[in-house]
Formats: sequence, C-alpha cells, structure tokens
Amino acid sequence: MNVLKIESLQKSYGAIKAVKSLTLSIEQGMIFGLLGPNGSGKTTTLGIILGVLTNDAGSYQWFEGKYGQGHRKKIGAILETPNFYPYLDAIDNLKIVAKIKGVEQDNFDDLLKIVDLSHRKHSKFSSYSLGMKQRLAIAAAMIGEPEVLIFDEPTNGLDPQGIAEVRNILKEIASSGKTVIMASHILDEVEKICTHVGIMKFGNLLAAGPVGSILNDDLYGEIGASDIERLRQILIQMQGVAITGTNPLFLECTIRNGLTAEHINRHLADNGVYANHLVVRKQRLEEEFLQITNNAPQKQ
Amino acid sequence: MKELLTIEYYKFRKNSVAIVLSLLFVLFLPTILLTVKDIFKNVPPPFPSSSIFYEFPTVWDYQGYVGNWLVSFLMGFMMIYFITSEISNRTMRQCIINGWTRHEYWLSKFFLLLMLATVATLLYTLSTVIIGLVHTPDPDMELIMDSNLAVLRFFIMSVGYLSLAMLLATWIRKGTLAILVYFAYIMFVEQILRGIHLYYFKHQSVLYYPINIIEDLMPMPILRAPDNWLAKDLGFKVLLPYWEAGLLTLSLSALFLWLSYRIITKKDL
Repeated sequence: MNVLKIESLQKSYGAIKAVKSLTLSIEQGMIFGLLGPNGSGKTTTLGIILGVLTNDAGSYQWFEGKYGQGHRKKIGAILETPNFYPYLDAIDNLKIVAKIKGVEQDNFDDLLKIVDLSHRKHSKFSSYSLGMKQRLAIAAAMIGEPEVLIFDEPTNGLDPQGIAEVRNILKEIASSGKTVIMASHILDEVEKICTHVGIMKFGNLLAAGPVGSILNDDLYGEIGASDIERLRQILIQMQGVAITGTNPLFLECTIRNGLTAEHINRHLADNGVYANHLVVRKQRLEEEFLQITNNAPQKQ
Repeated sequence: MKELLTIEYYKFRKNSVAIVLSLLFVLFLPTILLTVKDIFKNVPPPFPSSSIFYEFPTVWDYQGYVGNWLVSFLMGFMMIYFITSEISNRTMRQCIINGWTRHEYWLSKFFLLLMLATVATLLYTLSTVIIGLVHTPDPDMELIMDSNLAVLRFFIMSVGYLSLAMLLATWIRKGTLAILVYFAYIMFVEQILRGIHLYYFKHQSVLYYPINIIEDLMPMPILRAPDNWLAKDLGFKVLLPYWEAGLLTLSLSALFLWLSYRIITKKDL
C-alpha cells in the first residue's frame, strides 16, 4: 500500500523557498531516511505532512485517503522537539496522547519500560533530561499501534549515551515491520537503520531510492606510506585511482575499474613504495551524500 | 463535546496557575460584597442603606458587578493562559500531530470557554441567591426572580470577555504580551479612546466600544441613578439597554470567535 504520496509540494517563508516542488512516494514497510544538511527543508516537509504547517502549493495524501481527516491518529510522530505538558508526569502526558488518538490504552507501563523510563513515570516532564524527554516522545509516538512512525532528528542534542539508547530503540522499531520516516543529517544513523533514502538540499529532492541504489559501485580507499609525496606521484599515474583528499598520514581515494587492495599494494611495491596503511571499502552514504549535495544547484 | 472537554480537563487539572486562579474566583466572588458590607456600614445618599447591596432584587446587580470584574480579570487571564501556554509549550502543535484536526483544536478551546462561562455563571447565581436569602427580610419568589434576566446577562457577558481573551491569545501567541494587551485594553485603552471620542463627538456612538458594550450587561448599579440627569447633559443615556448590550455582545463574541478560528485553522503552528 502507498502510505504517503507527495506531489509538487511547495512552501516559502517570505522570499525563502523552503521546499521547491517536492514529489515523493513512500510505500508500506519502508524505513525511509530523509537526509539533508540543516536548512534543506526536511523539517518543513514533515511539518506540512503532519498538518502543522500549511503548504503554498502541491498536495499530499496519507494511506491513499483511507482514513480521511483522521489520518494522523494512525501516525506516531516527533517533530523537532519533544512536546509535553511540563507540569504533568509521564503517565498523565501519555494518557492525553491516547485520548487525542482515541485509543483505549492501559499499557503505558510497558511503553515506558521499552524506553527505560519506568523508574521516572511519576516525575514531572519538566524534571526530565533531554534524553529522557526524547525517549518519552518515542513512547508517545508508539501509542495506539500507529501504522507509520515519523522521527525528526531523533538524536539531536543528546549525549553519546542518549544517542546510543535512542538509536537502539529506533533499530527495534525499524525491525518490527512498521513504516518509518526519519529525517536526519547524521548519515551513519540513516545508513544503519534505513532501507530507502531521499536526499534534500535547498528545498530540492536531489535523489531518492533504496540505500543500495544511491550508493554507487566505486570504492573508497585510504592509502598511507612513509613518503606521502612519492605515494601521491605513483597513485596519480595509476589508472582507476583518483585522489580525493589528503590526510597527514594517508591519502583518500576513489577506486574504480574493479581494482582491489591487492592490485594497489602490488603496484606500490613494484614502484618501490610500501604501504603502511591500506583501507579499501565500499563507499559510505556520507561520501555519496557529500558528492550529491556538492553537485546540487545553488540556493535561490 | 464531552470527549474534548475531558481532554482539556486532563491537560489543566494539575496546573498550578489554573488551580490558583479558580480558587481565587471561588473565594472572591462571595467575599468581596460581604467585605464591602463591613466597610460601608453607613452609605451616603442617594442610597437608602447599604442593605440594597445584599437584598433581593438589587443583590443581582451588585453581585453581578463584582462578577463582572472577576470574570474579566481572573477568567480572562485563565483563558489567555490556557491558549498561550499550549503555544509556548508547543503542545498545541503536538495535539495536531497526535491526530486532532485544527477544527477540533479550536472546538476544544471554544468548549472550554463555554465551560468557564457556565461555571462562572453558576457560581454567580449560587452566591447571589445565598447572599440574597440571608439578607432579605421576607424573600419571596417574585422578589428573588426580579432580576432582569441577570443570569442570562452574566453568561453572555462572560462569553464576551472570554471570546476577546481567546482572540488576543491566538493572535498574539505570547502569554505575557497577550495578557498585557488584554488588561491594558479593558482598563485604559478603551477608556482613553472613548474619552477622545466624547471630547470631539458628543454622540451616542461613544457607547459602542467592545468593552463598554460587554460591561453594560452588568454595569455599576449606581450609574443607573445619575443616568437620567447625565442623559440630559449629554443628549443620550450612558448605559445601553440590556437587550441591545446582549445582542451586540453576542455579535462581537461571534466575530472574535470567528477570527480566532481563522487564525487557528490558517496559520502555521
């Protein structure tokens, strides 16, 4: 089933075009990562499809129109910050969410257990740390067995332990078969969790598809030797290797034409240079993302 | 309606601002008039005696005037707080994200407004009846009911104040500023505008300012006496007839509520 269909969506804030004619389709079961640097239009897009921002043009439809105006009751979402009544405790806040969603729910304790907040369930929301607030928001998003979960920068502002905790919860949710839409600028997060990605910059969708199709077949390499300048001269002459960056200890390269670490090592040895650092691996989303966004049209 | 009101109750039942303001209203409504009784034991003419403050049928007007102040201050403050606190805590946008339509959100606040007006009116009725029964020597039903539809006037007046508070809260969005604008308008701004109006145009149109219209549903009772000689001097009466104040307050409330509906349903949250 088509869970979300966005057609030519546009939104401006005065002269700034935050979203420019965005068209996107998300199918049931996808773990969709919406990637983009800060200010690329990710949160604005999510704000529109969640009904808190109005679009200037274009349209979107949830669940092929199956639930009409009540579609958001089938969605669990965190947009930007965890928003709760600061003077109420976790249970009271979750009760309000359940009532708005129109679900009879009494398993709040189970939800709080999943996000490791059982011990603070009677504490006021205002007394929570940012990590705890974010975890409560995840618990709230899961109320009523939503068909889709939306997380906007779920690990933003968290300390390393908080990031690890939230990431583990997200992985569990992702493995449960629900449709998840996650906006992030942390590529490692998306690469580890998502099945599909869309890359945004300056309000444009630059690329979208399965994670595997976004990543090309080029390899990423790190090659080091005691004489970096001699190494550079040899690599420049080697077909299928392109130097992309310099590090004090090694050179970063893109490796093509089916070359392997063995080919490179042999070539260096034949030229009298011995590698003291050699890493050849598949391109990461991060490298691909930088390549796509750097080639993007400039801001208008 | 019941479901939306239940959710509003859950939201604010443990809120200290709501609890304190409600307690102040419940405490002040019956006690202010009784405190006045102890302070003004001997009242000057044209009052025959201070007992007119507490006896039927005039107790409806005096207690109504006390209620007028309390509703405009405490209930108005509460209405603004209920809306702006949800904007600043971003729980308003979360309610939408969680599944309410904007229409439902507006309805929840509108029902809350009606609930506040109803509770204020019930407390006014109850306190007036008790004060009147205790102080009127021989109360009979005819005397008690001689109120010029005071209960209905009080309810419409409450709806009027709260609608203005709801509009300012949704429009200004920032709690402190909205409360300042609300109080400044009802206490000074409109008075100054009316003063300037009257200075340049000695015309009946000076009566048709929003707060003056709403206030005239429960005016200061002693204004009734001088209204006749003031009318001779000005060429018009300073108090609007109840029916006119009532209809105009309802019309103004409808306008304020419609504007707040437009803001909630059209603006980015």
